Order: sequence, then C-alpha cells, then structure tokens
Amino acid sequence: MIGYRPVAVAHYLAGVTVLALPADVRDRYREEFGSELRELGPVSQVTTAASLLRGAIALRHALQEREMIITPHPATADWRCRLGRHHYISHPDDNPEVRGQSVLECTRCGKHEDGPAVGPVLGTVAAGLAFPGAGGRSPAPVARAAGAPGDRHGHHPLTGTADSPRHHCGYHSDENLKHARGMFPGREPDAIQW
Amino acid sequence: MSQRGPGPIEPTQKVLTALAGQPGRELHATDLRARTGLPVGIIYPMLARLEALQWVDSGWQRPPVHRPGSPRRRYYRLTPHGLAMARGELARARARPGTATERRHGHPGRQQ
Repeated sequence: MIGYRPVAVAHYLAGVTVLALPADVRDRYREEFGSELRELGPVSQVTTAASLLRGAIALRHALQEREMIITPHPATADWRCRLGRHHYISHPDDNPEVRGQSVLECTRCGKHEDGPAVGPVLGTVAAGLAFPGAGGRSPAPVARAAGAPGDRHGHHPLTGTADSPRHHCGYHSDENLKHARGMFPGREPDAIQW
Repeated sequence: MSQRGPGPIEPTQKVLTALAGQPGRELHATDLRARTGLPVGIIYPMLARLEALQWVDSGWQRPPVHRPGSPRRRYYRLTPHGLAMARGELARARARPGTATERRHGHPGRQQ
C-alpha cells in the first residue's frame, strides 16, 4: 500500500538518520525508509521515524561490521598483525592449477601472504629485496620463495631455515618436474643441482 | 577473525522465526515489524547484521509492483545457509528452557 507522503517531521528525522549512515548506503536506506513511512499514517510516521533515528547508531555499527566481515579491517586485527608481524601458516592451495604448492595464511587475522607471483630466480631476488634479513624475522616471504621451483636455498616453508637439504615446496610434483625438464633439457630432474 | 552473532538473542529469534516461518518468502521491514512487534530501529540494524553474516539477502521490489516515482520496498529473505543456521539456532533456543533474560540473570528454578 502506498499511503501518505511523509510528514515534514518524519521526513526530517528519516533524513537525519540517513545522514548518520555510511555514504555508500545512504541512497538505499533513504528509499527504504521512504517506502516504510509511506505505508503509515502521519502519527505513526513520526514515531517510526523517531525509532529509526534511535537505531541509527546501531545501524551504522552493523553496516561497519559488514564491511569488516567482508574485508577484515587492520584496525580490528591483532596488534601484532597491525604491526606487520603476522603469524603465517602454510596449507595446500585449493587451486588445482597450482597443485603441490601451498598458500600462507595468518592465523590471527586471516591475511593471505600474496607477494608478487614471480619466477624461479626473481622469487629469490624479490624475497631478498623486500626482506633483506630473509630467514630471520618473517618467514612468510622466504616460504613463498621456497615454494618457487627455482629456490636454491632449501628453506623450509614454515621455519624459513636452510637446514633441510630436501625441498619442501612440491618440487617433485608433476608440474615442477615438467618445468625442470624445460629449463634443463636432456637432464633428469634428480640430477639437477639446485 | 571471530565473527559476532547477529545481535541480541530474543529480538533475533523473533526476526529469524518470522523469516524462517515461510522459507523463500520475501518480507519487507514493515512485514517484519508487524510479525515481530519490534520497532524498526531494532529491525534494520539486525537485518544489516544478518546480511553481513550472509544469513539474509535482500533485493528491491520488482518493477511490476513498483509505481514510478514512489520509493521502492526492499525485501529480505533467508539464504539457504541462513535458513539452515536459523533453524539450528531456533532449535537450540527452544531446547533451552526459560527466556534469554532469565538465563542471563540466573532466574531461580530455571536451568542455566
């Protein structure tokens, strides 16, 4: 039912309510509140508009929570994450195209380590440039570099240490074996010295 | 990041009951107000939280019903995920004796 046009007071209160909301949703709620008020009589319009105004702050917080749930906001993350001290763990990537590789995710804030997708040599170089003390404080870039087929340091994806002679990066997966054969034609991957 | 629940327990139960009562049916805020008796100042924030949790989705009134120049209604309905979650939550709430307020304040004779 489309009833009365909102009375001035109700129109004003609804307008103030809308102004309290984030800018990107004001048009939506202006129209929504307008349709709500039109279904009411003049007195109910005023009481409803007053109720909307009372709930404006709660609605604003709810809308801000929505943004935080969709994209975790740094201000709400653990203080260590805000300082860039994420606690990454590695787990297998769901993407079948990168089978054998792993992704890094912070256990505290859920941030994915998404450094530049680089090739075998650039991976090591980029890790060294971005983190001159690679292998020290932040294992994430080192682990990402270790996931690249061309990593020669044998860094462990979690610890970042270079004490393991074996690759923990899916080197023996089919894709990486093909990649290695392409780089060194005529040589068996097992004979390749990384 | 831990997600908070959709809001205070009893109003949330009322809204979820109204939405889950007829799955697939879309309700607008005026419908929800009539069914729950809650003021719109509570209903809108709750719907926003339920949307954030993807329990509810919403959409504008379809054109054949809409008159040009008049504001459109926005309809809300439970998503399949939201329906499953709402039914679970409501079943759990029914299994707990007493109202949420009584449980919160340790009403005598009621199970905590």
